[in-house]
Amino acid sequence: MTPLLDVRDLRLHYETPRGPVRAVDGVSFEIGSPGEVVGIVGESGSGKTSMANALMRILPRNVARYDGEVLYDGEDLMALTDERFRKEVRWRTMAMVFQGAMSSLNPVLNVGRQVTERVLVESGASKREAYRKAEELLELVGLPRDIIKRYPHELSGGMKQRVVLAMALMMDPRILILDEPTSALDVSVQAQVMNLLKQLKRERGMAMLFITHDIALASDLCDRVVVAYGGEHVESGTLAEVLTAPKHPYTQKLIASIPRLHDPAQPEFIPGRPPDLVDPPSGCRFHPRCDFAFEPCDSDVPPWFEAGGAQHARCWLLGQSKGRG
Amino acid sequence: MAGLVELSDLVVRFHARTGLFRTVAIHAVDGVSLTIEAGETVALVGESGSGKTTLGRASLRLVRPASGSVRFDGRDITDAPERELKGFRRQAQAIFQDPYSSLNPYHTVREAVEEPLAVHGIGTAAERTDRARKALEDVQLRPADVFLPMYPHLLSGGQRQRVGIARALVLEPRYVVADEPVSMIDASSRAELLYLLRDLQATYGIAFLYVTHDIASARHFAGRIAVMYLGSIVEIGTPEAVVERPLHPYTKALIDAVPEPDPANRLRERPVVPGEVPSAADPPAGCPFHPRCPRFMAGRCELQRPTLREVEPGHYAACYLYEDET
Repeated sequence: MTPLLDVRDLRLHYETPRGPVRAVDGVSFEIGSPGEVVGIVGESGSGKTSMANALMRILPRNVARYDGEVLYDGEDLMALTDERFRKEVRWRTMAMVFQGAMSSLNPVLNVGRQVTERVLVESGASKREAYRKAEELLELVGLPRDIIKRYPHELSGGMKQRVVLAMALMMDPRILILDEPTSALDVSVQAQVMNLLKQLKRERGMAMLFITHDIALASDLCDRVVVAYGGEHVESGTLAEVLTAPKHPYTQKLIASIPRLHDPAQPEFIPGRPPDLVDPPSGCRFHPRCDFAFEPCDSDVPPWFEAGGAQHARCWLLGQSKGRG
Repeated sequence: MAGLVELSDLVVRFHARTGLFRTVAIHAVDGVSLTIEAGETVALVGESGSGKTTLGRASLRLVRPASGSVRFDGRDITDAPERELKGFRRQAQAIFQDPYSSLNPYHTVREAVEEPLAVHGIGTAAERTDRARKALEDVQLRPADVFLPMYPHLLSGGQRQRVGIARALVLEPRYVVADEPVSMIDASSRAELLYLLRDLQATYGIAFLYVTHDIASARHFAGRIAVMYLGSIVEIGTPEAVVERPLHPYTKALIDAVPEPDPANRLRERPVVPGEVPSAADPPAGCPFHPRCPRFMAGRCELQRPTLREVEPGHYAACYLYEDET
C-alpha cells in the first residue's frame, strides 16, 4: 500500500559565511495512513523545525541545497513548481502550526477575520461559507461561539493556541504538522491541548507530524517516533519500541535524561555539546559524546540496521552481531 | 528554629493601568508564609501567574511587599532602606532564566564574573580575578583561563548559564534564588546543571529557592516542594509526600497533567481541570482554586480562604477537605 506521505533523503542546507549548515541532511520517514501520528523528537539544533519548513516549502533566502523526494499518495511534491505547490499543497494537503504561532496573531484583527483570511484569499469561498466553516472549527477545538468577534489580547494562551489550530484546519488538510504546539503553555493547559489533538486523530482521522524536544510528551500522542540528532535521523520505530527498548545510545540517554515524577531514580545527562552542523563529526555524528564508541564509529557513517519489529537504528553496535564486511 | 529566610504573611501588589486614569491592583503574592533553612533547597512550583517569581523577588527585596515581613538571618529587612541592604545584597543572589539575555554581550566572562565583586568593593583587581577564576572552576568552566577572555556569543546556552551561576557564587552568598534556571537549556543537559547546583549547595551550604514550573525536576532536586496557585501556597511538604500523596486538588491536577514517558499514555485522555488560571487582578473569593476544583464544597470553599494546616507530619495543605481530620 502506498503510504500517505513518504519522505526520502530530504536535504535542506543553508548558506552561511562559514559554509553550508547541514540542518536537514538526508532524512527519510513515512506516515502510513490517515489518523497516524509520527513524532519527530530531537533537541534544539537537531534540524527538526527545518525539516518541517522543508516539507511546507517555506524557505529562507540563503538556501544552499534543497532536494530529496516527498511523495504524497505516490506523487512527488518536490517536482511541483512553486506556484502549483502553493495552490495545491500548502495548507490544503499539509498544514502547519508553527512554534510560537499563538504570539503571532494579529492584535488588531478579530479572531473571525484571521481564521477566515486564508480561505477567502486562496479558495474564493464566499464570506458566509468561510465564517460558517470557521465557526464549526472553532467549536471543534473547544472555543465558545462568541470567540469570533474577540481580539487576541482578550484570550488566554490556551485559547490562542486553539485559534491557531483552527486556522490550520480551515483548508481541510490531510496532514497536520505541529511544531512544539504546547511549548509556551502551562502543563495543565498543555494536557487540554494534547487531549484535543487525540480527539482530532481519533474522530477526524487526522494524520500528524508532531515535532517536539520532549519524548515524554510525544508518548502522549504518537504511534511512531523518529529520533533526530545533528540534522539526521538516528532511530525510528513504534512508540513502545523506542520508549521501552531504545537501541541508539543517543535515544537511551535522551530517555534517561527525563526527570521521572514517580521514580526516585535520578535523571542522567549527556556531556558535551550537540554537533556543529557546518562541520559535523565524521562517521556517526554522535560518536564524540557516545559511551560505546568503537573502531568504525569515527570513520564510517552507520547505515540503518534493523532492530526487530518496526524498529531501526543507525548505530554500529547493531552491526556487530551480524559481523561486518 | 529560626530559618535563614523567613517570609510571613507576605503580600505583594502591583498596579496595572487598564485605561487612561484607571488602575487595578494585582495581588501577585497574597499572604504567603515560608521559611527556608540555611543550606536547604525549597522548590517553588507553579504555573504562570501563580506569583512564584514575584515571591522569589520579594524574598530578595527586589520588590517591596505591601504588607507582611521578610526576615533574613533574624533581621527584619521588609522596609530597610537600600543603603542598609548592602550586606544582605552580598549574601543573597539570583540566577535567572534566560542565559541569552542576562549577560551583557559586550562584557567578557571575566568582566561579568568580577562585576559583583567590584560593585561591593571587594579585593584588589588581582584578587578579584583570582576569585572569578575559582568561581568558573566551581561551575566546571575549566580551564578558567580559557573562558575568562571569552564573550558570551562564543558560549553555548549551558555554558552561559554556568557564567550566570558563577556570577551569583563569586560573592559567596548564603541564599540564592534560581528562577527557572534550566528551562531554556536542552533537555539532555538540564540534569547536569541541576547536579552542579546541588553540588555547590553541598560544598558551600547555600540555601536555594528553586522557582520552577516543572514539578518532576523539583522532585529530584529539592528538599521540600511548595506548590503555588494564584498568589498562595496551597501545599508544602517533602518531594516524596507532595508527589506520591498529594493533598490539595490543585496539586493532584498538576501531577496528573505531567506527561510521563509511557507507551500507554497514547491510548487514554488525561484527566484535566477545566479552564485556566484566573486573573490575579480579580481573584476568586475564598479558596483561589474553587471555581476549577473537582471537589468544590458549596457554602464553604467560596466563602473564606483556607489556611495551611499540617495534615501529616511536615506535610501541609490549605484545603477544607482536611479541616476536620486535624
